[in-house]
Parts: sequence; C-alpha cells; structure tokens
Amino acid sequence: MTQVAVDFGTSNTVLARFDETSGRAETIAIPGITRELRYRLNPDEAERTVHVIPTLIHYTDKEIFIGNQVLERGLVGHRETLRWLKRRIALGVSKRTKTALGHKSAAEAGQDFLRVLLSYVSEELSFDEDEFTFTVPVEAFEDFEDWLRRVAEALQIARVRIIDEATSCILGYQGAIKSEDRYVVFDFGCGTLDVSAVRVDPTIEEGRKAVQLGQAGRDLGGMDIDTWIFDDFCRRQQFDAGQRRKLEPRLMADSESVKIRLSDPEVNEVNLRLDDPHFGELTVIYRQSCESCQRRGNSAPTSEKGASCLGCLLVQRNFTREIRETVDRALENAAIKAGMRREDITRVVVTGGTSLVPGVRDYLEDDFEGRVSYESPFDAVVQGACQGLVAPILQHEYAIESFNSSTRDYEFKPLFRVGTSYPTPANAVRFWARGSYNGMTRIGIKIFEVSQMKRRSLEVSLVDWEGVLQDTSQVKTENHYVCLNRDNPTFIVADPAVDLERDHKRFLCSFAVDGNRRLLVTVEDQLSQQKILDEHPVVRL
Amino acid sequence: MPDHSQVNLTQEEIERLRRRVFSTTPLLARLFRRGAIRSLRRALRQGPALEILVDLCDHPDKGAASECRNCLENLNDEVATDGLCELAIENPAGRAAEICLRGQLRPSDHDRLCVYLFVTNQLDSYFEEDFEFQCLRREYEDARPELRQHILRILRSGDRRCLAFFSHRKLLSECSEQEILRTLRSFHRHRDWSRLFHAFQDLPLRYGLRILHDLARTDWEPESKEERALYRRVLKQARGQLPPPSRPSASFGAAFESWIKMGKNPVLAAKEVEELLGELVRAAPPRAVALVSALSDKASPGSEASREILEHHHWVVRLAGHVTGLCIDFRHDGVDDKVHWVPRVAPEFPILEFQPADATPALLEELSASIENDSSKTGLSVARKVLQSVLAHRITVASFEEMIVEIEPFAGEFEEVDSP
Repeated sequence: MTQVAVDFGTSNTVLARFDETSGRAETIAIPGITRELRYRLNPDEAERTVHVIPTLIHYTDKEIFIGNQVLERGLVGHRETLRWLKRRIALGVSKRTKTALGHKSAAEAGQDFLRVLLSYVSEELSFDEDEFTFTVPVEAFEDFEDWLRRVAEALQIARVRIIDEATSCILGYQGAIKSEDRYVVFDFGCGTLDVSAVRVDPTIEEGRKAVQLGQAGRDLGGMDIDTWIFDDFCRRQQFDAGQRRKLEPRLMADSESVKIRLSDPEVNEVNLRLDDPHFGELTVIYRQSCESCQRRGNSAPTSEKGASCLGCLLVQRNFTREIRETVDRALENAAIKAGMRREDITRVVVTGGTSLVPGVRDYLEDDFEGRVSYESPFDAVVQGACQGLVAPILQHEYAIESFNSSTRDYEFKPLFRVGTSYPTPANAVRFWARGSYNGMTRIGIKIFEVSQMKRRSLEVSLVDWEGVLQDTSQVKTENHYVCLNRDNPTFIVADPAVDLERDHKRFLCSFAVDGNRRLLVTVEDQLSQQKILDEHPVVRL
Repeated sequence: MPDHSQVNLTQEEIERLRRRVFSTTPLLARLFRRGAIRSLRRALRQGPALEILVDLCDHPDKGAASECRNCLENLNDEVATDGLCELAIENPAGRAAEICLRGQLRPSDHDRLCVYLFVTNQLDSYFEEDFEFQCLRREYEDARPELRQHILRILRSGDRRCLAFFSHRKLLSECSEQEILRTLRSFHRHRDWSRLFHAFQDLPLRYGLRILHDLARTDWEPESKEERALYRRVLKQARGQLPPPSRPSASFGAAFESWIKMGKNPVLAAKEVEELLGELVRAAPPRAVALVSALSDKASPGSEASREILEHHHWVVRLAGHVTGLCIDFRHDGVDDKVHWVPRVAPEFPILEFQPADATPALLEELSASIENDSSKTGLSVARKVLQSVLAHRITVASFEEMIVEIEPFAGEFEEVDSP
C-alpha cells in the first residue's frame, strides 16, 4: 500500500506518492501532462525539482486535454479552456462555460480534470490498495469534501482520506502538531495570496482539523508579476494596444520564465528577448534588484530601453506593502476572534511558488524572525498529506470476514472502531476462529476497512398542500468494505485439519495494533497447546 | 496466400547478403545489391531478411530502395506480413510502420492486429476491433517497457475513447464467451501456463476442464507448494477428460432478459438482501425476476435467499434463480423442477456453469456430500471432484466468534486497600 496525496490547486495541482526509501513524498511525473519546476532556495544549494500539473482543461469534440497538454498546444487563452476551477468551485459559481462537449460548470470541469489525471496514473498507482489523501481548503471544507468524495467514488478509489490544506501544510514542515501551537499559513500562489492564522485540533478523527482563527486574502499572485514584466517590456518598446494584444500570449510566457529565473538566488539578470520577423530582435535585460530598491526601498525606473529591474517593478506596484497589509489583517482578525498575539505564533509555514519571488522571504524573515518554514513551497501540502496523521488514532473502522453457518453467508465482524488510540494492548480484541468445513487446513484472516458512504436516496421531493417544497429524500449511510490483504492474506495452518465438532474453541486469535499502525495477530492452538502465530503483522491499517 | 517459392537461409547466408547489400565496392556494388535483394526476397519469412529490406528502403540507390518498397508494400505471404507488422509494432515511427500503412498490411493474429492498429495510431480501426481494450490490455501486460511506454503515450494523448482503458477492468469471469476464449488462446500463444492455471481456478468447469486437458500436455508445474498440490490433484482427478457436451442455457427471450437486466440498476443494487427478499414475496413475476437478479449479486448460492427462491411459487422466478447461478443443487446433474419448462431452459449441467468465486463453505460441504453418494465415473462425476478440490483450495474463510470471558462460579473481584 502506498500513500498518495492529491493537492487540487487553483493554478497547479500536485500529485505525490510517499517513497519509503527516502522517507519523503515524491511528486509524480506524467509525460506530457506534468510540468517540471526547478528552484533553488539558496545560491549554495542544489536545485530541487517538482512536477506539477497546471490546473487547466480544454475540450474538443473528440479529446480532452489537461495540464501541460493545454499549454503545449497554446490553448490557455482559448474560450473553451477552463481554469481557476478551484476558486470557482469554492465560491459556488454555477455559471457554465460552453465547450465542445456541452456547457460545463467549474465543478464538472474540475471533476473531469481529476478523473482524467488520476486515470492517467492508474497504471502506476492502485485504486484498490493505495490510500489517496485529498487536501481541501479550510474555508470551503464541506462543499469540497463532498465534491472530492464523489470524484473518488466515480474512479472507484477504495481508500480515501480528506485533510484540510492548512493542517497538511503544517504537517509537511513539521511531523507533529500540538493543540496549543498557533500557526500562520502563508499561501502565495499564482492568482492569490491567502494568509490564515490557525490552530490544529489533533483529536479530530478525520477531515478538518485546522481551526481558522483569522484570515485575509488578496488577489495578488505570480500572474500579476508576469503582467508587470510584460507591461514594462511593452512600455520600453513603445508598443501600441494592437501590438500588445498580438504579442501577449508569447510575451506572457516569456515574462513568466523571467520571473522564475530571477527567483533563483544565484541568477542576477535575465534577458527577455523578442525575435519577430515584424519587430526584429528586441531585448530587455532584467536585473533581480538594484541599489535603489535594495537599499532604500525606492523604485528608480530607468528610461533605458534595454534594461530594467524586477525589484523596482515590485516596489512600484507596492508588492511588499500589499503582502504586509494582508498578513497584518489576518493577524488582526485572529487577535479579535481568538485573542492571538503576534508573539503567540509558533511557526509561519510558506506554500505557493510566488513565495520564491525576491523580497517575499526577506519580508517574512524580518517580521517573524527564526519562525519561518519555506523549504517546500510547491510540495509542502502533499508532503503533509502523505503523512496524514496528526494523532495516533485509527481514522477508520476495521472488520474481519467471517462465515455465518446459520445464514450460510459471509458477514463482517467488527475489529476496531474509528477513533481507537494505538498502540493498543496486546489482547485488544479476541476471537475464536472456527473452520468453516471439515478437513479445512488453511484458515484465512482477511481484514477489511469499512468506509461509510453517505447517499441521498433517490426518493422524491414533494410539494405539500401549502405549496412548500418538502424534501423527503433521506441520507442513507452505506458501509463499503475494502479488503486490505486480498493478495496477501495471513493463514492459520490447521494441523491436524479442522474437525467442526471437535474444534469449536480451538484457535484463539488476539488482535492488536502497534505503534506503526500494523495489525498484529497472535494465534494459539488450544488442541496442540502451541502458539501458531506470535504478534504476526497482518496488514498496515 | 502462402508463397511456396520462399526459402530458408542460414544466419551466415543472411549476414553475407547484408554485406553485399550495403557494399561500397566501386562499380560492383549495385550489381551485388541487386543480386542480394533477389535472394532476400525469397527469404521474406525470416525476420532478419525483412529487416535488411526495410533498411534498404532508405538507401541512396533509388532503384534498389524503390524495389524494396514495392516488394514490401505488396506482400501477400501471411508469415512475411506478420513479420513486417511486428517490426512496425516495435518501432511505430519507423519505416516498417510507414510501409505497412501505405500497403494496408495487417497482422493475421487478432491480438497483434489490435496492438498494431493502436500503436500506429489507427484508432478508428482499432476501436472497431477491440472497443473494451480486452486484447490491448493483455498484450500491454506482456509487452516490453518501450512498447508499454508508447501505448501509454497514446492512451494519454487526450482521445476521450482511450480513457476507458484506465477504468474498471473486467474480471475473466465477467467476460463474454468470445472474450474468454480469446484470452485463453492468448495465454496459450504466450505459453503463459501460470495465468492459464489461474483462469482454470476462476472460470466455470466448462472452460476449466478444457484448460486442464491442455495443461496436462505441458511439463509445467506451479511454483508455490499449495498450488502445486492442487494442480497435481486436479490433473489426477480429471484424467485428461474433456467436459461432456452441454447446453449452457437456452435463449430466454427479450422480455426475460430485460427483467434480468433491471436487477442491475442502482436502485435495486442499493437494497439490502432482507429488503429484496421481503419484496420478492409479493412481487409480480417481472419485478420478482429483477429482484432475483439483484439478489444474485448480494447473496451466495446455497444461502437462505437462494432457498427461498427455489421454493418460490412461480416457475419464472425459480428459473431466474437457476439462470443467475444463485440456485444450485449439487445432488442432481441437471436442474430439478416440477415445471417442465424450467429444466429445458435452464443450463443443462449447472455444475459446469458454476462460478468458483461464488462458492461458500456450506456449498462445499453439499458438494462433498454429493460426491460420497456418487459412485459413477461419468464426466460429471469427474467435474464434481475437480470442483471440490478447487473450492477447498479457494475457501479459507473461518467463522469468527467473539471470545467471552466467562466468570467462574466462585470468582471474586479484589481491590487493593488504600493505606490510611
């Protein structure tokens, strides 16, 4: 069983799988679909690589393109390409976009995106056995949870977990969380800056563990910086509106590359070059910063046609001031709502690629000295989601398959309830295992995870005699049993073979869960007075 | 059409021809080449000879290149065509694939045809042959890594039809007769005896006995101890016998089929066994057949539910029980029912149609009892014994009962006294 995490983001989606050897989650590369991002936090550090999937979907009458396929085909700006899906789903936007496959809402397009994406990795991952953790924004938890569970159900993913993004991000940076700790989650993505002050309640069994104390957001992100660079380039070349429109798709992509390259601490300047038969060869050199913006925080925009400074552009647009104001607003809200003070903050955890832009980290380090974690801006959330555990309690119910000789059918006997703390005592649950027919020589121990699915029954909504709509449909909870050790069941070897009359109380099975969440079984054969299995690991729960 | 003028060249001869074909000897090279091409054209059934001719299609000697292209595009020998298509599958972007496409050549084997059509991006033709990916999936699993990667690239290209490849895979027991036979043929072709033996364990004996018959002619044995023991036992029991000729089930008519199909709808599928049984008592026959169909996915053969169906007052409902495999009685060879039609329409020998995955310990005990009372040595008697061995191997479930600590008559509860 592998831990898989899915972070469905506004601009980029990250898919990761836990690697037992490195002890870390590794982002999954899907040729043609994922985009490789390389970044460096410090000049003397090795480059890091992550694979992300741009959250884009484009429909044609025969094809569905997602992620990098949309970028490669230059379809980002196409009117039948859907983007910013997450934000639209969270806001409950029901407006539909016309596509070749009919009108699609953000929720439908998002579902298609995840369905296609996860289908493409189904050869490498197992929907039956692997544990999939989906991350969900704290502020839209219920709606998103419901939506993601439906996506997982359609894909027949058997083991699904949901965790909020804030908790996941904190877990990604630090393994354990204490309930008295206070965190600031600084999420600076492509389109938005979200700052939230949270505390985490580890005792909550599954789902939203983070409690939001204060929050503030702003429509400011990496895309804005790309636009500023693009504007600056056009201004320096004195392009008119028509020329700008014509060159926009190409130059915006190039501007993004400039921003990414200048976010590398080792790169001081980058050329933005336009080579066009109509305009000829035009180049502007972009410096990471200059003396003016670095020392005095002033912008000194040069009128030079061929040189510019990203630092000055950021100063001009009040970039750092906007960030500071957003953080302050979030903390003020937290102070009003929960009495949280700036010095109460245990740690500031940073996520989102825009946090790599020069100046962002300096600001955070200045304001929250020694309390900032920024090492994994792209994959902190999936790192935490792959770990997924806040407190050592079982998040699901588990059962054992048994045969009922009176109804002559199979049934499930409960083994451990949800919320059980582990490690459990050695004899936490004890069963007599009886053979099911005479002459049986192998008794299998098959363990099932019980997942509860809530379904609205298909029965009816009625209008009562006063004309008021009465929804009489009921939400029915169904248990789904997923076998955890179908391919590798544990057997009790019966020697001598089972005699139903004699062996009514022959095999005493004691079940326990150890500190690593492994289900252990000890089996004593009362006939031979021997221990057949001694704390034998059956499966990891 | 087989070409009888074809010859078999040795490896050395082919190598000699290769040298002649690519000879650079001034003046004589062209002459050598022409001669070598003539010889190679008579050895088209040999892969290396084909490869040389394919390579020659790009030769600067335009005459030789055109001769090779014409020869390959107009192949009419089945073996040679298959060989060229294999080269196309190996390198779908290469010259061989281009020649196959231009000459509209196709492999003769259906499984390879599917792979060929898929990897050469002839998706419309491919979906006419294998719309559920049954063949492609089988071939994909056995393919070398480069071919798998190429297939994956096409599957991930965005074509909506390809998405179905990644969805739920049908178990062999869920496949149609034609699909099962194709799969078994593919296992044979790949000499994949291990998967063939697993198919034997999963499929009804109508196929299973035939598989055993074929496996008996190989010298293969399973690796694991338990499987080896089962294999030896069933080979001994089967004694190379084929299943007796039987009629699986007669045609039921569209109405009956549609009632059975109704049982698979999500509303019925969501109901519990007790709910379905409760409704069955008072349902009219069409609805009752649908309920039996839904029950067949939830209850086990030989369970209380199946008994209730067997005792149902309406023969159509009992027939549905037999057709869905929910009602099985190992005591009789055929279906036993007081209404004349039921045994005529239900499967002739239910034991040959029984799905091993549906078995329960109770059913195994019934089967064992029926063997004790059966002294005949007919084909069905053999089938019973083989099925018993398979079920005993498959069924490992136990009955678990919670351990209750009983208080002994004089047991007391003792508590430590706090010191003052």
